[in-house]
Amino acid sequence: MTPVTPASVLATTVGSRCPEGAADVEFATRVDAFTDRHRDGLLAADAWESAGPPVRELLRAVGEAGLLRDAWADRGGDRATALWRAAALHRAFARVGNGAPGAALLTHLEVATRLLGVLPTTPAGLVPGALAGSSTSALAATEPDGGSDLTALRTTVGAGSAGGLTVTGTKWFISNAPYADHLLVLADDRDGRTGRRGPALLLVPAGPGVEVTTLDGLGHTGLTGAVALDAAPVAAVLAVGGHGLLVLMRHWIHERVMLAVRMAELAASVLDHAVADAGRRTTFGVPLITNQHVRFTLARLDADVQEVRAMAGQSLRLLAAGACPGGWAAAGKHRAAAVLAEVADEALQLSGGDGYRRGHPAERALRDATGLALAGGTTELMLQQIDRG
Amino acid sequence: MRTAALTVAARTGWFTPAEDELRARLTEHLEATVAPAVDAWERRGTIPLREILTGLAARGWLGMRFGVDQGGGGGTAWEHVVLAECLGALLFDSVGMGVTVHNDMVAPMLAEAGGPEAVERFLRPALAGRCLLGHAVSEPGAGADVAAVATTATPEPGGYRLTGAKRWIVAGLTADAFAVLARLPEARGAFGHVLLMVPADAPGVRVEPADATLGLRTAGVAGQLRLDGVFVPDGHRLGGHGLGLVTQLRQFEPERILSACRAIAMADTLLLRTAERLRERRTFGVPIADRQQPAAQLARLRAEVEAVRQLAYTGIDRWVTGGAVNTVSAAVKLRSSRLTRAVARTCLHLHGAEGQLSTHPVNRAFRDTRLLSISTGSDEMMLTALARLRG
Ligand SMILES: Cc1cc2nc3c(=O)[nH]c(=O)nc-3n(C[C@H](O)[C@H](O)[C@H](O)COP(=O)(O)OP(=O)(O)OC[C@H]3O[C@@H](n4cnc5c(N)ncnc54)[C@H](O)[C@@H]3O)c2cc1C
Ligand SMILES: Cc1cc2nc3c(=O)[nH]c(=O)nc-3n(C[C@H](O)[C@H](O)[C@H](O)COP(=O)(O)OP(=O)(O)OC[C@H]3O[C@@H](n4cnc5c(N)ncnc54)[C@H](O)[C@@H]3O)c2cc1C
Repeated sequence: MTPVTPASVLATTVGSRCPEGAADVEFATRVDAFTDRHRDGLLAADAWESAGPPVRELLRAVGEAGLLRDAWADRGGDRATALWRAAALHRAFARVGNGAPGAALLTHLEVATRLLGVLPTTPAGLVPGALAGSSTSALAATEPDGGSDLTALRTTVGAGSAGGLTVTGTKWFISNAPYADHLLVLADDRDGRTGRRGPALLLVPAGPGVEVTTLDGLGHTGLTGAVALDAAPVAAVLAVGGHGLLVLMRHWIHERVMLAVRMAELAASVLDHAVADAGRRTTFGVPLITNQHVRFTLARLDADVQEVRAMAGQSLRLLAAGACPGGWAAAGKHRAAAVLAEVADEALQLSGGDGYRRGHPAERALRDATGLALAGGTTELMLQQIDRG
Repeated sequence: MRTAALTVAARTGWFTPAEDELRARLTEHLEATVAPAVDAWERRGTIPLREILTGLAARGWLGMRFGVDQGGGGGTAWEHVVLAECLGALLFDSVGMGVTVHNDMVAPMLAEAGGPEAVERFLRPALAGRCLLGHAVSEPGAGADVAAVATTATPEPGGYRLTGAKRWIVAGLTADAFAVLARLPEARGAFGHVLLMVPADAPGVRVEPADATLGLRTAGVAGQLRLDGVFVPDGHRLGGHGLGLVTQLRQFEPERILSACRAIAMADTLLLRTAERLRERRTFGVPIADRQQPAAQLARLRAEVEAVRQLAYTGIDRWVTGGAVNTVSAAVKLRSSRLTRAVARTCLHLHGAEGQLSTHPVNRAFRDTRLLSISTGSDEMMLTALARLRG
């Protein structure tokens, strides 16, 4: 069985106008060496079906291998090279451990570290630590009472002892929260304590006043947490009141593009598995894949996967040029999530009872896909964003 | 939908400034010469395809990618993408398909597989808009299964004697010459065919009109091309003796990507026009565009259009740089055909009763786009190809 054309084949040859530049063979080789080394250990699918997957261990190992540092563009650094390396990392991780470790990695690099990297008031040392894989953070925006409408925040900013600030409230479905050293908390500054009123983004150490419990969700097993903040001390104001949401709006363009890159590859990986499986399974005396309905179903999904991959490539080009419209990122994110859900659902179907088994690649992808249609901006919000261009 | 930003994003990095300029001039030309006449041509039942082609040729817009020595422009397939997209934006596929068959289906086979005689006799005048080209492959017993053609070319000294009947030929009623796929009497299988250029006025050629069709009503579709002992000299053969099917199939692959570009441009234009209509049309005191459900329907389709367009550009790029295009060609033909039909269906509905008028552009687009999933490789044939490429 031929796997879906590897993404690297989309890379440039002479005279090509393709988004992807010349293949970064050196980096790809290091990523491959890493995934090969840890395939049966840190990256084994089973380890990521437990309530306590090895998130910190994985981040440390990736950091020590220098993979995070080399996929990171400093101010003035080569942004395009770094972005394509990050994309290579997310694509490779979409193909190991049923794609689960890739979720934690993406949150670490493209959400928390990325936000800290672009905000000027981030305390020194946090970003280098994150890139070394020795610490991680989580973005805590969503609350039990609302995630789509973040203007309706209930978490508030208060005054602590010694003139410091505190936050109080509840957040949930916060990716990587159970493993985070710091939380980036979106909170309503009703009294203008940060300098202005409105939603502010605050850096809160995971320590006194912060209680995190791992959520038992349909997918993203062991990866999301609920956070109770009880006058938790604020270490730094990352964005003053009124600016917190603006910062996040800009950030989400980046996050959505990276999510689309990962989801496209996850879909490709699940589809490859389904094709191989349909070649192996025999019903009525012939391999399942000899049935035209089965072949056509897989072929249709193959076309969908090629489509979202191409879209993700152009999104990366636009991101590198600093010219990705919000509506474009939304279109890519929504489409990739839709294709992933469809591929997972059909792949599970074609694997029969085996596909229904917990831990089967399609089963895991189907569970994760439901969360991916919500996280980083729901499908409904993406459609509104596309409408706005 | 405010999509100007999305259009810029979609094209970023793919087109040169010269190609952007070409797009502007082509759009202007088609807006001036085709758009205003559409209704009259529809009433009359035919389009002046020859004039349209001469008009394009006079400005150097036919065969832009073919060698200058063959009468072409010496450019690249990207210029043909620009033409395909401008044709799609017309929402009038009798013209779109007519120009495509001439410029991107038959002309490429002449340029790539034709000898000097065929180039001089057919290609050079075709690229000047003087020799109108038709493509005669399908038969009553051979549509999806191209290899099953029964039209037979019997070799004789200096050429072939051609006998049989072809079915469904775009612009067949006005074409000056046809590319005809025929089988050899003795041979079977993939290497038993020839592709021959047949002038419409050659003795033994007879063209008959087609029955009325759902769409492509003014494309001058011929229902039958009867070939009764027509003599074709060797010099009018495209590709080797026995290699007709191979030559034909090789041409289909890149052409499907260009056709996909045209289809996606139709979908793009339909979405823009419909959004505009919904902004103007008010119900219960509010523009329909402000209602979430129709807006979400259009946004969902917009996301697909942009994604499929990126796949098409990726395919063109691979073609231009000499890579394998079989997979991407089948994928994008399938996706663009199905998607453009879905877009047309939705846009027709969102136009309400007005959309039911057969003179309305959305109505015509709905009818014309239905053919996308049938012609030049049906959806099922694309699925077959994709599944085969998958092992
Ligand atoms: C796996 C996973 C990881 C996550 N990670 C994080 C994280 O790291 N940090 C974080 O802050 N959050 C995270 N989230 C939360 C996520 O961002 C929210 O779930 C999401 O924003 C939706 O918010 P909600 O769940 O409160 O749904 P609601 O806002 O209550 O919406 C419910 C449903 O209604 C739809 N809807 C809402 N408003 C409208 C409208 N006006 N029109 C039409 N439809 C509407 C929504 O799209 C949704 O389908 C994560 C979620 C999941 C599942
Ligand atoms: C308006 C119009 C213009 C045309 N212009 C041209 C032209 O210019 N030149 C030309 O050569 N032809 C032209 N055609 C013909 C067109 O290319 C054929 O209609 C097309 O190839 C399909 O062939 P068919 O109609 O014989 O359908 P069939 O081959 O009979 O197929 C019928 C249906 O069954 C499906 N099918 C077939 N085999 C299989 C299979 N193995 N598995 C699953 N499904 C299958 C097909 O996809 C199709 O949906 C035109 C047709 C029309 C209607």
